[in-house]
Amino acid sequence: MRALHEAQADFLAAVLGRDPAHAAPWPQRRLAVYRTNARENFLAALEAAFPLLQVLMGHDEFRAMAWAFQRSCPPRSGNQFYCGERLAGFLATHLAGTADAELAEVAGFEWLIQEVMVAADSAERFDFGQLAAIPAARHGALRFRFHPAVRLYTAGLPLFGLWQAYQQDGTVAQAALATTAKPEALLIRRSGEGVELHRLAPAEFRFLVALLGGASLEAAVGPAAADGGECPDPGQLLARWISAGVITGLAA
Amino acid sequence: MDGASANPADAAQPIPAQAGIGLRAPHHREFIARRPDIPWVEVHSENFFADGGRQMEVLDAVRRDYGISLHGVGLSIGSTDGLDAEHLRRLQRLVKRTQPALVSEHLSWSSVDGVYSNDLLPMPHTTEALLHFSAQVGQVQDFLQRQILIENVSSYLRFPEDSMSEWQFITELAQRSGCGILLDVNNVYVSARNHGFDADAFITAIPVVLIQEIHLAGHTVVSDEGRELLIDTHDAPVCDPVWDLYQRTIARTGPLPTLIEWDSKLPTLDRLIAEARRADTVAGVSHARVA
Repeated sequence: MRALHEAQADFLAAVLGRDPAHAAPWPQRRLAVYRTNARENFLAALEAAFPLLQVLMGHDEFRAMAWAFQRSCPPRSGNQFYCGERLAGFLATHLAGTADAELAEVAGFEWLIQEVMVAADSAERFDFGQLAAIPAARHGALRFRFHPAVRLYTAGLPLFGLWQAYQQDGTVAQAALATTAKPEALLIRRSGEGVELHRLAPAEFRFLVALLGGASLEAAVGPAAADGGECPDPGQLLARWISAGVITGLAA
Repeated sequence: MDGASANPADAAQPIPAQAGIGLRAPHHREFIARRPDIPWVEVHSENFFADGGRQMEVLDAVRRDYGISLHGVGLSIGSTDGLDAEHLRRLQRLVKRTQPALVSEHLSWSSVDGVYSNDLLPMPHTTEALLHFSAQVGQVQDFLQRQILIENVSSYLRFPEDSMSEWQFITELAQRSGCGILLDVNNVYVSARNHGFDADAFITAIPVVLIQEIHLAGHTVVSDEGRELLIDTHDAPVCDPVWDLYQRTIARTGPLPTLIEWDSKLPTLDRLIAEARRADTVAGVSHARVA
C-alpha cells in the first residue's frame, strides 16, 4: 500500500497529465473530470485577470496559451488569484521572437491592475502642515508615501488606448496593435469598482518611479532628466499627485 | 482600516437554521442595492483575501446585516505538503475582520510538493490519511482559535488503498479533531451514484450532533461508457432526488443552516432566493428573517 504522499503524488501526476504512466491505472473518463476541472478552473482564473489579453489573442489561442502556461508554470498557491502572477514572464519567453511578443506587455499591465484592485485602502491625506514645518533646505531629502493602490508601468504598446477601447465595448480593433507604437508610460490607480489610467510624460514617469522606489526628492530629479531634457518642476509634479491622492504622505 | 479587524460595535450577525445563498460577484451590486430578505450568505474565503478595495467594501456592507459563512476552497488541508502559512494567515485576518458565524473547508487536498491542481481532490480513506487530516484540522483550528466545519466532496475516483468508507472517515475526523461537519447532500448523492453506495446509509451513519450546516447544489449527468457519471458542477437547480434526500436528512437532524450553492451559469438573484425559499419549505421553517 502506498503511503499518503506517494498516493497523492501519483494522483496529481495523473491529473496534470505529465506522465501517461501515472494515468494508466485510472478509469480515463473519471480521471478526465479532474483534468477538466484543473484546466477549466485555471483558465477561468486567467480569463478573469486578463480580459484584454484574451481579446487580443482570441479565445482559442488564449485557451491554448493557458494550457501551455499551466504545464510550464503550474500554480503554486491554492488561491486562484495567483494563477496569473507569472504569466507576463512566461509570455516574454514563450512569445519571444514572434509577432506576438508584445503581448507579454499586456499581461504585465493587466497583472498590475489585479494588484491595484486588491491593494490596501488608505484614508491618509497629505499633511501640508507637516511639510510646512520642514525647512526648505531639507526638502531635497524628503521621501514620499504613495497610496497602496497605485502602480507605474511603461510599455511599447498603446495600452492606454487599448484599455479604454476595451472598457467601452469589450472589444479592441486588431488594427490598434499595428499602430506605430512608441513607449507609453502609465500611472494605474484604483478608482471606484475599477481602475483609472493616466498617461505620463517620460520625465514625469521616471520621477515618480524613483519616488515610489523610495528615492529622495533630490535623487528623483536626476533620473527624471535622464534623456538630456530638463526635469519638469518637481513642485508642480508633487502638487499634481498629492492633490490627486496618489502621494499621501511623507515617508520616514 | 487596517484590514485585520472589524469594528467591535459592528457585531457579526448569527446564522439561523434557515436557508441562505452563496453570494457571488455578479450579484454583489444588486444584493447591496436590494437588501433581499434572506438571513445569511456564504462567500468563498479566497475571494476576500484582498488587502482592500471594492470586494472588501462589499463584504463589510453585507456583514452588517447578514450572517456570514466563510467557505474556503484553497487551503488544501489534506495535502502532505502541510498548511500554506500565508494562506492561513490571510484566512485568519479575514476571520478577524468579518467575524463569521461559520468557517468551513473541504475534505480534500490540492497540492503535492507545492504544485496545485486548482481542484478539490479526494482523500484516500486510510488511517494514515485520517490521522494526517485530523492533525491538519487541529492546526487550522488552533491558528484561527475557533472550530471549523469540514465538507464532504463529490468524487469520481476512489483510491485502491481505501480501508474505510467516506462516512466513517469524516465522522472519525470530526470526533478526533473537534471540527464540525458541513454535510453537502448533493455531494453525497453524486458520490453515491458514482461509486454505488447508499446515500441514506452515508447520512444516517453520521451522528446528528456533528452536522452543523448543509449544502445543496445542482449537478450534471454525463455518460461514462454507457453508464451515468454525475459531476458536481454547481450550475443547475437542485434536482428532485437531492431535495428528497435533503428532506430525509432534515427529518433526522432537525432544521440546520442550509446553503444553496450555485457558482456557474449563475441564475438571477431572485431565482437563487427562490431555491433558498424551497429549502426552507422542505425543512418546514419560516422564510422570515429573525430580528
